[in-house]
Amino acid sequence: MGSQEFTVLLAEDDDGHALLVRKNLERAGCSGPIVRFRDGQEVLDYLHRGPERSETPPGQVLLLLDIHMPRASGLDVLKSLKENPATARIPVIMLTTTDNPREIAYCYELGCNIYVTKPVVYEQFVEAIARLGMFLQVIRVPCKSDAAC
Amino acid sequence: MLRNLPIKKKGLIVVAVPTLLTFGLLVILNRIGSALDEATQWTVQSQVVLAEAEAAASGLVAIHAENLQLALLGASESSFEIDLRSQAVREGLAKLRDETRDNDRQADAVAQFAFGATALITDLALTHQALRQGKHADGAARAANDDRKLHQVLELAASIKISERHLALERLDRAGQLSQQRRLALVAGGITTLLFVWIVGWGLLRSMLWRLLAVRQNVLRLAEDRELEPPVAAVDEIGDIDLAVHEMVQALRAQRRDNDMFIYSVSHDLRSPLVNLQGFGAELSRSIAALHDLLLTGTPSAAQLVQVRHIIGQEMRESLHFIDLAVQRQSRIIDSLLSLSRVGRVEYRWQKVHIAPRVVDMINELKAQGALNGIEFVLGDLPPVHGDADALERVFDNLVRNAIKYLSPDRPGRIEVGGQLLGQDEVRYFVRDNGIGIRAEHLERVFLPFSRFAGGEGEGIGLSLVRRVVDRHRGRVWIESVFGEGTVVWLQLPAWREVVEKTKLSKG
Repeated sequence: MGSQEFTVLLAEDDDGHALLVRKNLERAGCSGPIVRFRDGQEVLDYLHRGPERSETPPGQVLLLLDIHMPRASGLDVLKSLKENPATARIPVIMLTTTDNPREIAYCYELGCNIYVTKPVVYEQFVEAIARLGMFLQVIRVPCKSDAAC
Repeated sequence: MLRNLPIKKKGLIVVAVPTLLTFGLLVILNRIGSALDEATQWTVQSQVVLAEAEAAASGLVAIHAENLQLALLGASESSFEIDLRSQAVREGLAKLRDETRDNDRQADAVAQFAFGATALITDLALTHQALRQGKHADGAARAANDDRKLHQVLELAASIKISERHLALERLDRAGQLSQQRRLALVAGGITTLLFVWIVGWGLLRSMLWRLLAVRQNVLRLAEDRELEPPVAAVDEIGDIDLAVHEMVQALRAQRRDNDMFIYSVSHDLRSPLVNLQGFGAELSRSIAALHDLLLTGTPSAAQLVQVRHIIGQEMRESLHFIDLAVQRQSRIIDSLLSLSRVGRVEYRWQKVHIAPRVVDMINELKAQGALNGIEFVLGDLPPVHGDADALERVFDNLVRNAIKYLSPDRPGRIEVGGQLLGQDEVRYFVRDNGIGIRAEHLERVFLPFSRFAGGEGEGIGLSLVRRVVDRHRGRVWIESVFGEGTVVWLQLPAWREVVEKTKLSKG
């Protein structure tokens, strides 16, 4: 029952942010594989390759999406995933530097699971990522009973 | 109907219609006046006719009286005097005929009277002659006969006078009617004109006032940043003003949306390096704490030393690297903001700009740098424009560098720069590439600062710089793009007028 079964897909154009998220996810006890993408289009290409994709580890996939990315933004990716039944069930966590309420509302409207503001104050960030780690362990339960997962 | 005319025409109506009414009134008054004058004149003529008839009658009576005197007393005026009197009566009759020509009935009566009177004059002359010659019996018989005829003629004269009096009364009556008409026309015309001026003038004023108030309301709403009322009907100059207000509001709203987007993008971009600064700063603290634990709690073991080496050589270096990057990024963003504000502030030197040689220099430099390796570059005609040379060069520099940056790796790159005169006043330039293109949903935001859609280096202010420069030149810039096929950036700028004149001359 470890969290190793999770594959975290991290879409983040800023190398520093990506590294910080990775480090903190690991510290929060989420030791599953983390696949990093540099923009939204890369994630879409990866996810839309279909079920025959070989390198994806078996089990749960979870997507951490930065909103501001070149090519396809986090919102574009979210919209595209939710429109496609094959990817609509992937849990999505939005990461962003701004806490624009309209944007948050829009993300939830599109169907994201959690919205995390990247805080400048580091402790908050660690806390947010830690909560994320806990969240990862929680959401695993209902999905396991579902054969389609 | 009147409501839908421009103010100029409304004003013309308010001035022209009363003018016409007044003019018509004057014409009518003038006519009535002439008729009245004529009527008055005829009234005077009646008096003349009466006097003439009276004179003729009394002339005849006087001659007859002389005859009687001669017959009874044997003495009278001389024959010459009688002739004079007869002559006077004849002349009077002629005048009377003349005076009554206008009225047929009266003319007939006068003719009858004149006929009788003329015959009587002859008779009276014959009687006088007989009496003078001493033929008393014959003279007396003739005089008696004359007396009878005289009575008949006098009756005729009396009837002429009576009907002439009637006529005079009628004419007086007519004159009275005419002067009544004149008063009526004056009052009615005056009141009509005044009423028109009041009603139409007031209506015009009211409709204008109402519309002006609506415009004022809209301007106030604009000032208070509330939604505007729908535009007043665009039928006149006030409608035009209101329309302009609405357009201004739209432009302002669009500008504010752009500003909001700009601030949003900037705040995001400024915050992003801060996350790294804070994050890696904290990572450094963590590393230091780890080193502290490893080194200051006794003699470190070999394994601990490996860890120390990892922390110092790997983790701390990494943190410092990202801190350095974040600082550089922050500094670049601030530089971009400054350059963006400089574009708006720098003083332009307005002149005729031959952009072609500058673009050629720019391309040669890019070639020297190797930036155009494997890229086909086509340079077309670039007509001169009116503007600032340095600013326009920066525009082309930005556009060409963008075109190079976003070429597609899938095919050999091709970039084309060119332009043409558009009529006499404008020049349209273009920068066309066969690069990766821009998604339709991103097209409207590409000119916003700090918006990047395709990755790559830079802070995403190139196109917003371009737009600011073009805006200051009172030109237009827009982009056509098919995602995956290429992009065309169009620039429309004011042409250099003198050049137009010269080419016209040389063609002529």
